[in-house]
Amino acid sequence: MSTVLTKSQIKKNEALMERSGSFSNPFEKKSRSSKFGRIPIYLLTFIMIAPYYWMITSSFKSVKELQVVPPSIWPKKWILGNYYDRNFDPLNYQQDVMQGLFQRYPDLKFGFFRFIFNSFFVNISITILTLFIGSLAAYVVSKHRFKGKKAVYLIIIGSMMIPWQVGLIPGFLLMDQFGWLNTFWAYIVPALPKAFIVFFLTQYLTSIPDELVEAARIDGASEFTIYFRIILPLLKPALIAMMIFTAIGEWNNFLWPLIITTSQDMATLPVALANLRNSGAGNIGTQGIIMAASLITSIPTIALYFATQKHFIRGIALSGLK
Amino acid sequence: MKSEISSVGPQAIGKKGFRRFSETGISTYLMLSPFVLLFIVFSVYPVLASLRLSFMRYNAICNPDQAPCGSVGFGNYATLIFHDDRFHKALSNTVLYVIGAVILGMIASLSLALALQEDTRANRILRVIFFLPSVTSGIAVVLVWGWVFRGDGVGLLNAFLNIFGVAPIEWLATTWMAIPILIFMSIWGGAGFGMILFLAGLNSIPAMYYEAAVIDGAGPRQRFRYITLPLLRPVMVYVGITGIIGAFQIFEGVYLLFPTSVGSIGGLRDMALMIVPYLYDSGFNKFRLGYASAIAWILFAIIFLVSMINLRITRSLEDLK
Amino acid sequence: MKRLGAIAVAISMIAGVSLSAPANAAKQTLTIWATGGDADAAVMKAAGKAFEDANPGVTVNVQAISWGDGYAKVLAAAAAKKGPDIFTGGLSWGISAGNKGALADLRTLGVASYVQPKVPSQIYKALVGYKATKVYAVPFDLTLMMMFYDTKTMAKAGITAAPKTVAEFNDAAAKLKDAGVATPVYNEWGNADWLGYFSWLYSMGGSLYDATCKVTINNAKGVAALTQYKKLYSDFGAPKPGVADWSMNDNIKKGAYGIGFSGNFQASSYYTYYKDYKDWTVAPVPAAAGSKSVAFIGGRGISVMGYASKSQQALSAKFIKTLYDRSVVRQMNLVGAAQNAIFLSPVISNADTIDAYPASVLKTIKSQLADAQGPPNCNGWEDSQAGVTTALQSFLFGSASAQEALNEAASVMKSKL
Repeated sequence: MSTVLTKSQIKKNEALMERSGSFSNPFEKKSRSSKFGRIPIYLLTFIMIAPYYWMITSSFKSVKELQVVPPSIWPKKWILGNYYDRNFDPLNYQQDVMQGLFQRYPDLKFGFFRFIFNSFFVNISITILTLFIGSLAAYVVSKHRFKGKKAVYLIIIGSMMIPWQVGLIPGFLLMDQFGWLNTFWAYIVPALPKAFIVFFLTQYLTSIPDELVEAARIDGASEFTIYFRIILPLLKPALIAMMIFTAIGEWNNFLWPLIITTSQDMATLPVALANLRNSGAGNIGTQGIIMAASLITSIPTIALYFATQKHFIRGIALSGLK
Repeated sequence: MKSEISSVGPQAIGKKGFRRFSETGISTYLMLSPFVLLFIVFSVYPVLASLRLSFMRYNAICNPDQAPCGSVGFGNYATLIFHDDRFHKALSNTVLYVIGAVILGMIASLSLALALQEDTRANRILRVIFFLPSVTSGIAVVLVWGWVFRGDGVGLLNAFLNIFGVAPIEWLATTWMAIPILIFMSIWGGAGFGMILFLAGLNSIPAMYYEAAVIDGAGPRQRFRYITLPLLRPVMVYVGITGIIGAFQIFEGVYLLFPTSVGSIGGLRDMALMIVPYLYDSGFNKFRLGYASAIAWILFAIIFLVSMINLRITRSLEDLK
Repeated sequence: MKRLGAIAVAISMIAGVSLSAPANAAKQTLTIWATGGDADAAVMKAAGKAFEDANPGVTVNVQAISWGDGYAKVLAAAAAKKGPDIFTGGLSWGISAGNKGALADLRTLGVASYVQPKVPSQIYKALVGYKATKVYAVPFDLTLMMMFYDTKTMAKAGITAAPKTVAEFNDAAAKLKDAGVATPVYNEWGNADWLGYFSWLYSMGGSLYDATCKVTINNAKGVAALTQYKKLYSDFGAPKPGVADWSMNDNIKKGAYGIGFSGNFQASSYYTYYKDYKDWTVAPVPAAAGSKSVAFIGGRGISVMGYASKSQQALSAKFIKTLYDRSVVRQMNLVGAAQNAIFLSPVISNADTIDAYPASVLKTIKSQLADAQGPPNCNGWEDSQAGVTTALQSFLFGSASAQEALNEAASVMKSKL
């Protein structure tokens, strides 16, 4: 399923995107302006937003209110107990007093903040390092000539076809042999070689004229100088797109962190969230806390998306079009 | 093209060995090696090792060459294919799910793209809303859906239906509903992503095609049938294949919404058991790592075959024209 | 702005490295994984504190792991040779992890011979494999299946005494239904899986395996028990799993649930959360006429990891032995009562230390413990559970007959023997 973009196609896409990110087809405009035809779309929008609305409002409801049938749409009383309940006493549980999210995990230094830190640390490390080594490789593959280049590139592209779960178990055993289970190493290092990034950046670089690089070489610039001074600035839009992809993908990663963490303090937010849910099972009393944790887990990626929306959409369109 | 001059870089002296393979000398290898080394250790090796494991019985604690562990030949595959009812259930569930999620998902994405094509302020906001699930943590989303589909009166959907006098429905405990619910969740989560791809595709269709069609007297339906659809085919292939690959790998929804008893996955009568959850169950609940590796390779074989068939069909369709 | 970002990244990286660095341990530290919730860890910590006081220089470090993935975590720790010295977990975890070579033999550590005479034989047996020569786990605590109800709700339906036989139970459930109780019967623990079926099976004279581990689940008594178990769902409105998984005790108090089947942890919850509510009580699970009431008895075993060093294992053994002391159990229960995790010691006489329960409840618990039955100790039971549950449900909620469902369950069990 290698979707190889040719130079001209990329340029064409670029040009299309440049048109102020507009997706309109001017000619089709007139045929769809009926007001009533839009009703289904607004109904769907409601379904799209409802879970977010529920996540936010429920995290501010009391246990009592969460149990009301039918559920209240707007919280009767906004309470912070699901995050932090001042009345909570670890030596005397009471029915309507919550052990708020930031009061749980008394044995962890920084409590719930530890998971937030883990998630950010893992994410930032992976994103920076993976883009660095990926762009180096992409530069070499697209602008250097060496023996075996085609084979290397083919293997990298070919690996994209293999579902990552195939390597899951040996990956786990490898972490075990390295003594990396339950450490940040196990999170970060195996996540660094991302074939898609090399593929995407290589495609992007082939659209950049070789002459730029050649000229620099004639001027006596070293390969690393060329990489830092010429290639990186040129790659900027592609790198930004890939950065967003990687960051969001890694943030929401679940199965691998689930497997490599053996103690609570090393969990990232999604794993902590699943553990929270498993420990409280379906008990309605913990639902508010779970929603609070879900909200905290969701906010960073959504914020990143809003902040970088334009690059993001362009990145997707670029990676998907043929 | 690269000129001969390029080989006369500053580092030309003293790197004869590398020169034989590359014009740019050692820097080629310096720059390539971080990725390639990591790639070999963490991407290539695990895949090959998992192939070897799939012919073994292994639990990570035993010595791999001694009983109770050791080679079982094609034993794991034979058991999976001929004897393991849970795997068969997982396979048939997954196939149903993939078909539903990919086809309906594609229709949803394309419809959204067509509906939100016009570049108005409202549409730009709607696009953002529809895209939101693609950037939201899957676990968080699943947990909210778990609440929506609760079987009692507190469940959101039941509360809503109750307005019309419908008695609470046991959404997550009714055998035939599991896969439709998972398909719904998949469309909710993925339609926005497909929509963006289709929008880009729609945008790349030159307006003059439509103008010419109108002059020839083609109505909106004909324009869609003879211009939009054929020109969107590459996008459809891409959305279809990535959708299939993604759908085969479903995990979170099953893991969180359909637990069986303590330490097992699949829901009532394994109604929601799928391939990757079964792989997790075998590998990390039971620690039958060889067996789980065989499941992973069967998954790979299926995805590979389906992608190839899909590509072949598309290509032959194109040849028809 | 850019520089600020770079500094933030650098700081977070340094902080990450320092956080992941192992702490220097000068003294001896015992690491324990307690399966359950935070409250279970707190109870274990009470025992740890007692141990620390008695053994200066020893630190006991307790961590909670969840029921759902606890077993996987233990095996992963065994594979990595990194993790706890001691863990508590499901009764069958010891046998299956031990057979994989992950655990220390508690006989050579002197724990087995110390514990065996103190605890009921049927629970000790469940932790020691059939024909096994090694002991990988000893009982840590007990969980007992019981029948919970509200005396006022029962009285309203015209029932004055707890139903003792299966016939009386069916009669009572029908009366509760007629009296308008929304959910006459509720299965909280082991809902529609093998565990929920277990007490009915054994109280109606059946069994999963016989004494020599031959599969007996599909004999006539098994069929009768499963047919009865289905009545709970088809006739008495018991919700299927995943439908109404919220607190049973609240609903019994409100009169929305009639009879609830669950473990003694519900009694603990009544004590912690409903101090003013006096109308709840418990009774033994109903039995067939002429059979004894045999409740399922679960709980947790406690094991020592095989990779732990000799000195760590010796210290672990020393710690485990203290868990059967009356004074330690009392301290664990003081913590447990406040946090909804009352600890039921496998030494039956230690149940007296739970002053939180009403006398009648305590009496029922003690009498039921005498006749309870633990999970089977036959090979492959741990691996059969999912298959057996699926098979049972094909009758409970599907079109298979009881005999077909049990034959299917039996074939799963035989294939794993």
